[in-house]
Amino acid sequence: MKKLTVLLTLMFLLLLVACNTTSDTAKETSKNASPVETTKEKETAKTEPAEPVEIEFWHAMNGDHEKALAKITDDFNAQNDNITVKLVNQGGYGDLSQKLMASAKAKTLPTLSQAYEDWVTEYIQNDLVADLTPYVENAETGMTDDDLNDIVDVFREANMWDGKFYSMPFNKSTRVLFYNKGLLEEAGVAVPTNWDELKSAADKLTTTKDGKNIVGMGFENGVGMELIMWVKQAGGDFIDEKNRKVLFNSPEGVEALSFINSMIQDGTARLAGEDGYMSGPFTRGDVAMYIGSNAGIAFVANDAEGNIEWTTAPVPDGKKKASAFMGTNVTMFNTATDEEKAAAWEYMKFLISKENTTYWAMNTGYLPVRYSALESEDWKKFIQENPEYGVAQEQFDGGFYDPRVVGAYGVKNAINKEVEFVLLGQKSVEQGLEDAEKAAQAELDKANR
Amino acid sequence: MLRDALSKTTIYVALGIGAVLMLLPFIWMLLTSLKSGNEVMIMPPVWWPDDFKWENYKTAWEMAPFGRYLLNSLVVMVLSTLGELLTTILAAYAFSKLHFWGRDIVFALLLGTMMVPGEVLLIPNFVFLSNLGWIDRYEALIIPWTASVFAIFLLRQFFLSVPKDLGYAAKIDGCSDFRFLWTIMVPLAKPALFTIALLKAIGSWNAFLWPLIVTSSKEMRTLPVGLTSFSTEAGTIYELLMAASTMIILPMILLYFILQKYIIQGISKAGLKG
Repeated sequence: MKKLTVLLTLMFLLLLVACNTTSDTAKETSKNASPVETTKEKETAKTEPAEPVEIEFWHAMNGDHEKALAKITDDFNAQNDNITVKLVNQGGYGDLSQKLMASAKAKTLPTLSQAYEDWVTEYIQNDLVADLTPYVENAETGMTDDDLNDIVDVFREANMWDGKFYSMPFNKSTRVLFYNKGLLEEAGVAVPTNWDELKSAADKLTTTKDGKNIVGMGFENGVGMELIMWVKQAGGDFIDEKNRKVLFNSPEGVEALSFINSMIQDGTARLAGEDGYMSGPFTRGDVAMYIGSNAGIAFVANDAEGNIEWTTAPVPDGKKKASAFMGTNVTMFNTATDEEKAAAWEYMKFLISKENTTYWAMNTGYLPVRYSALESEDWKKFIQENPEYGVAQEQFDGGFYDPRVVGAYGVKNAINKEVEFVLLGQKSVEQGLEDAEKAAQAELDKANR
Repeated sequence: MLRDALSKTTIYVALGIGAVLMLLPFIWMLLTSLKSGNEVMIMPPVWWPDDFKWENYKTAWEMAPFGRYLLNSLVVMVLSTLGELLTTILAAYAFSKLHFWGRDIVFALLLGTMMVPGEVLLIPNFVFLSNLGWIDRYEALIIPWTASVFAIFLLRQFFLSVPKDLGYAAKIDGCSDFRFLWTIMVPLAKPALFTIALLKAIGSWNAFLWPLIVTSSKEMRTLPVGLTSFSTEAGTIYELLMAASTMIILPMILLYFILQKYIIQGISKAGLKG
């Protein structure tokens, strides 16, 4: 019995270790991925298919998001006799990324997939993705300049590498400030618009009410993953994408981390902690404000019903306006045939057409990716009825996207770990940032060796 | 008499507390599956939902083709368990009762493979199966799981504890190795075999990453993959997730009740020997 127990325990431990290192090893393996043989890109991309073509689109959309995507895809299939787009759900983003890497090795990549920008950087290096520029520039089936400039700047730029398009923006989100209307009113606190106001609001909102402790401000658990926003708001730089150099260990970095840390240390802010996501404590009324993804609005709305009155506001500004826009794009692999690629391009255009990006945004909480969609009557009416969805677009001004370096996930994790040491009071801000810089640079060098 | 009664009471009370503690998570799952969204996360926690939302079950069932997933899970579980029993019995017999050159080295090598985390093998295995053309087919879901070093190790230890004399007696009576294995060793090893089968069945029922990676079409997916329908990057719909989990766990609980006697026997006996 004892032996068996020991063995079992050992096995579980092994499993745990294995789980922890999965992403690393997976990343490692993919880095050495041999370039899959490429079909040479033609000068002018082929247009509409004459023969029936079926293409696969791998995605990680679940629940209502999947339903909305299925509806758009059904519409497309109905309108295009010769093209059938088959949606393939691959679980979450982590699962999708693993499967894409395995498929790249096995040379069984789909035609289309959702992908983060840093994945695409990696695929470009391994010559796996198709350059979309010829499709964009095609006189017949391409996009006009007006059409192209209609895509929100920060999204368009995030999908260009050295002047070439390798993907198109799809499900985009950003961080917004959620706040509890009742609690702010009671305390006579205005919605904070800058760091100082945020700090003093958090201070005033931290109280005990009916024997219940209320914390003023909340951060999601991965606040270290989002350090970039705070550093940029403080006016600093985070990572130099071109030279793969970590830059956040600067006076601005210290200022940013000190700001978050001071609120955590004096108890006027908390992390999601055991709750997993801030939507839990926020909708219970335990936390008066928090900064989180606008993709979570539907969850907050669902959980808040009958509990609290709430809405959203733009994230407070630092010295500069800065808000990160994240989410994935749709990319096309170059292992597909010319006919498949042409069909995929038609689908990509359809997916981000004014009507569809509006439908997508209204049904998922992601952002429309076109200015014309943001200006459309449908959308204007929608955000008038649901003002919490109208906030994210006010942040395009200071919009930026995460550095698109290979190994970005490992880098974020390394930073988050050190930030956690600081927030737990185990390291000083300066020490934590210095260690985070070293760890992040090491991850970056490892992934790009 | 009194002492007897007292010690019995103590035992039953202790067992009762243990039983309730074991049941709590299941009860919590069941009750959560009947709550509305805003009751799930409320603090202090509410045990009893205000009104029972039975429609959660309907909604959850309709989020994904769970009927097909159920069929796939059953097929994969049954076939991979049978397959593993077959390979395990043969291998364990070879490693315990047969004598051939390099036997112990091969066995040590096999044990060594247990040290390699499965995740490392994910991509090579995928590429291999893809070359065989098995991706998105039952073969990929079942065949790689029809052998387990841990099971071989467990059964070998059990076989080793069977006295050699039994084998000699059978040999003298003119019994072949094969017949000896199936008519004497296998019935003797029933408890260990039940343990192995059970571990396999549970493992197969719960497997997530592998079925997800090697399948692409909805027709080939299994129940745990269906559970991802309730999670997005922004949060999880707990009440629906719990409703689906309740439905998924039912066959396992039924299986347990039917096989309870053997399972307890298996765990206690195999545990002692292992």
